[in-house]
Parts: sequence; structure tokens; C-alpha cells
Amino acid sequence: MPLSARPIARRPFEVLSNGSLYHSIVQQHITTNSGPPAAGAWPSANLAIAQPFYVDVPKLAQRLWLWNGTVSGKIDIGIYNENFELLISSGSITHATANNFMNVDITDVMMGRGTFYIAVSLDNTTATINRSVAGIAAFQSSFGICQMANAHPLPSTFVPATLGQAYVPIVGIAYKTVL
Amino acid sequence: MHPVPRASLSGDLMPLFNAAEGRPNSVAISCWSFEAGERNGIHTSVAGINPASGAVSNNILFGFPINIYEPYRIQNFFVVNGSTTIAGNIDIGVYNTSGTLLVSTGAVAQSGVSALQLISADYTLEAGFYYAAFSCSSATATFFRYVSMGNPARMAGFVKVASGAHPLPSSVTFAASDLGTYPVFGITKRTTL
Repeated sequence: MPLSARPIARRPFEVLSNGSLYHSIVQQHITTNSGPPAAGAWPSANLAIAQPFYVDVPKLAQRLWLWNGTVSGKIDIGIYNENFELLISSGSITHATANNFMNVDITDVMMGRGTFYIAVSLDNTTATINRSVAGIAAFQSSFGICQMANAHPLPSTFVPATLGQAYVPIVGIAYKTVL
Repeated sequence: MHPVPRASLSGDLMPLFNAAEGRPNSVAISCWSFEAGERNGIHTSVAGINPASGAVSNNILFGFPINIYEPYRIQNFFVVNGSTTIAGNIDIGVYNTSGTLLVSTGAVAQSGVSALQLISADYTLEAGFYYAAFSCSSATATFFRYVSMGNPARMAGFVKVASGAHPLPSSVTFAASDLGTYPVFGITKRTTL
């Protein structure tokens, strides 16, 4: 009699981060081996950085978040689909909540199973975000992380380019209102 | 409640995840991606795993297993080149579990210091189990590569061909890997990275 096998159980995640081995980009690997994330100045004004997320179970996204250092100017955070078409974003809003998580309300959106990109853009280089600097830009790009210049606020279509620097902001999705 | 898919002991060629229940394949797959070493917990076993620039052995096939859950269109092969010497040729490809080469770049000149070198392709892998493979012709060419890989790579099912593997042969017999370093290379379904 053949063995029966259950699929690996899906844990009921309430928050996805790019530290997730399963839902993101091996960021845990990147982060762990460079020490904990540290705040660093945003690389250039109006730059956007996008990174892939993988959703296995449909769920209602209610917040997007990032881990701030120094706050300054405006920020925009949003979700693109696999074709780099903008699905939802905060729009250009005040960068707030220094040295802590910025929990950004979005219009609730049901995310189905699939590949998505979370993108962040800032309009200045005074702001600092906790990020991974592991390896070199080309190494981080090899995980599918990409950037776009002149992308604040986030454009309706993201045109991916190879990272110009090793800089992966710590970001995520919350399926609840509190983080 | 999820339906319970059935698998037999002889089902080693079936994808380990039911596509309808698991996450999609990564947009770019390297030896540390979820589809390869990562799902085997390899990251927990390797010390000093940040990649660093250095040479790797030439004419050796470096291979790692990849689980493809649903059709995956390869649009580029990639390798992360090192920070000093760029020399000779590289070859990146995909084998089936029988050791038959399905698709490869052929010998291509290494190009670009500290660059993510992309080599275009157009080949669709069906759901299943494969090996991604890399070889280079130069003993001095540098790549960003993981170190201290030896036993952790073996436990994750990494493979090698110890000699005469550049360019990648059309048919090989894999041996268990005992290679200490692995260059960062892989496949992607993106047209750019």
C-alpha cells in the first residue's frame, strides 16, 4: 500500500517579513550572516527598491510595514504583481515613527497565491531604514531584488533594474491591523 | 481541511510540493533558494556563509537540486562574478535526474567584475526534480561563492562531476558533492535581474 502523505502544514501566518525563509528571499540567510539589520541612509532620493514575496494561501492584507531608523520627508510603500503592475500603495505619505516599525494602513486587498513585490521609495537621503547590506549588489540582485530610479511616488508600472548598491530594506505585510 | 494528496515511495520524480498548496517557485533560483539548499536547512549548517570573491576549481561540475512545483520558464541563467580576475569561459545548465543535459548556455566568456552576469535562454521546465549545474574553464577566474559547504552541501543533495566537465557534458554520472565552495549561480524566469 502506498504511503499517504499530507502536504507540509501551512502555518497561519499573520505577518510576512522578508526574514521569512518560506515567503521571501532568503533574507534570513542574508541578514543573519551580516549581523542584525542596521539603519542606513536611503541610497538616493526618489529611488524605489522592490523585493519578491511568495504567497501560498489567499489572505487579506491590511497593513504594510517597514523598520525605520531616522525619519525624514516622504515615503511610499506598495505591492506590485509579478508583472510589476502596482496593485496597492500608500501613496506619498509622511515618513513617521523613528527607530521603530512604521505600520502603514492600506486599502485592504485580498492577496491570492502568487508572486508579488513589495516596493519602498523615499524622496530623500536623510531618512534611514534598517536594512541588509550582505554581500554585494549583484549578489542581492540574484534573489530577484531590484530597483528603479525616479520612482517616488511609486509608479503604476515598476521597471526593474539591477541594484546599484547592497541595500535591502526590512519590510513586510500584515494580515492584521496591529504590528 | 486540505485534501490529502497521495504519494508512493517510488514517486521520487514527483514534485515534493503540490503546486496548488505550496508557494510559487522563486523568481530566481540559486543554491540557497527555497527550492534547493534552503529547504534542507542548509543555512543552519554552514559557518561563514556570506559569499566572498574567490576562485573555484575549473572543469568540475557544481550541481544542486531544484524542486520545480509548476512549469517554470527559464529566461536567463546567471552567475555572480568575482571582484578580481575575470577569465575563461563558464557554462550553466540544467540536468534531469538521469544526468541528461536538458538545456545549457554552452561555453560563454565570463564577463563583468562584481557583476551579475546574465545569459539568456528560453526553456520551460515541467514540474519535477532537476539539477542546476555550473562549470568554468579557468582556475583563476573569480566568483562570489559560498565557502565551508562540504558536508552541509552533501546532506542537501548537492552533486559534482570531478573532472572533464567543461563545457557541461551532454550526459553525466553525478557523484555526491564534497566541494567546499559553491559559486552563486542559477536560473531565473525574469528577463532582467
